[in-house]
Amino acid sequence: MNANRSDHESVKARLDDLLDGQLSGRTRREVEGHLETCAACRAAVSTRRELLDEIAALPRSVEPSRELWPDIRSRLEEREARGRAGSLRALAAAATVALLAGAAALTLWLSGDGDPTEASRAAERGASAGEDPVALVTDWRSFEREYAGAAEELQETLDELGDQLSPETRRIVERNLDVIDAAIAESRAALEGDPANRELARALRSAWSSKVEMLQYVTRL
Amino acid sequence: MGMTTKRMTTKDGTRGRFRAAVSALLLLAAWTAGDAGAQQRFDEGRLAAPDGTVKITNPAGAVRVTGWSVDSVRVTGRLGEEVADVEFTTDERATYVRVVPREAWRDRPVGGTDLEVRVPRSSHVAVRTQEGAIEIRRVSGAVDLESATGDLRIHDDPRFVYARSVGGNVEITGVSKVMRASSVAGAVSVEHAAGYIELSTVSGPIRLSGRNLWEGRVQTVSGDIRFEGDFQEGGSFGFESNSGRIELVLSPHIRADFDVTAYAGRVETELAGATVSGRGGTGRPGTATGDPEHERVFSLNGGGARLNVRTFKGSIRIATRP
Repeated sequence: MNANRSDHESVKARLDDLLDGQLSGRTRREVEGHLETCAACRAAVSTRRELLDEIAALPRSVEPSRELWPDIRSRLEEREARGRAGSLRALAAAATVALLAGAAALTLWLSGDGDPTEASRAAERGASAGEDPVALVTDWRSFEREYAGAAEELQETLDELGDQLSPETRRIVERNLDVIDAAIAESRAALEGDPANRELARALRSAWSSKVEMLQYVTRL
Repeated sequence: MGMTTKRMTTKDGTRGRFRAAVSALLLLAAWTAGDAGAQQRFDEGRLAAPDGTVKITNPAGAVRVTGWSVDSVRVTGRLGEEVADVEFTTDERATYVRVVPREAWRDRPVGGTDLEVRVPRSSHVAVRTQEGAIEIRRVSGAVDLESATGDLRIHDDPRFVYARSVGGNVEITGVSKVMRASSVAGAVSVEHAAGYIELSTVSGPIRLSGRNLWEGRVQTVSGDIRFEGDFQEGGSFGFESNSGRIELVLSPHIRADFDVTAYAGRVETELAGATVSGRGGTGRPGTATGDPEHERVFSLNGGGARLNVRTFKGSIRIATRP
């Protein structure tokens, strides 16, 4: 039972590679052999293959703009690289990034300027900051600086929007920025008291991520 | 003096009544003209590809999109006086519907121009509004919705859903393979979910129910999270809050591995009907590496889906359905 489970886990970690065409020879035969006997893995492969086919079939009109694409592509490639290192999440993550890239493009047609802006690029930098679990703890001040820089740029963009945001929207944004800033302050204070705590570093990064994502969205409205 | 006063009063009264009558007529005329503007009917159609893209922008009101089995896009609605034009065009890439407000109305809160749009059922649909609600029915392509403060409602089964609002609620009932929905302050509610899901809010609550979820995350800063349902074996899901309460109500037959942490909050489990196995810890069922009030690592029914549950100072409750 344990051996079967171990084989199963080992094969599951290679399903993404199989779908990517990265397996060959004996490894490929092993994985395919396991699929013949494991309904759960067959279902997982089928679901992922179907999803990727459908994403590939999305219309060209939802492809991301040239300006935005390099950042998104680099993140996608980074996630795919991690997937080849053994993460089962990778394919779904990659597929989702592809979808979100499409969503971002759909957003750009509305604004009409098609320019992702420097703040948007900074937000991308912030979003990719601190993903390494070791760096997360040892260098949390560094990723916080990345996020803080991105948030500051986006906040300036928000201020420049002036009356383009309705008073109601602006009130909602300001109230929720207060909520997030309080969460950031609490997480940071706890982390300063317990600097090796990875959970606290994650909580801090998560709060910063919420702030940057919210500002990024609101400045696009 | 008194007569003069009376006569003048009578005369003034006659003039006053006349002026009042004229004013009333003018007001009526103005109101009628204004109403004609406010009630101007729009009803046009264009041929469209059965699986093409339809992009709708309406800063002046709500949009309701319904899929139908006809290869055309039809737009109907009553245009408010704030609207200068409705641009309804097509090219090789998409069909576009764009409500253009009058210059004087730009950047002002308006909400009188509601559009009803029929699209081929397999269309990919993108809609943007400011304050108006967006509702989607019977569309099976990708759906991409954004609004500042309008509510977003998606029914049936689009293949992909991307829905985002600052102040509005997001409500999704149906099965999509990939879904990403968020609101800053509104509630996010998803029923009958399956596949890959990302849901987030800052302060709004999140409710999610579904079966066969296989990947995703649910995240909020101060809102509460409630999940009810099941996960695909081999799936992986994360729930995270800063101060909001997280509650998972699961089938007693679920096969899953849990990694649960509440830094300054409390973890509570009620797992009747499930076989619980913990790793390390105090030896109490469902406890493991640290203080069981704050951190637990355990498996149900031998393990399967990987579930990470995190909160900074909220509470976490994981329970099986009776």
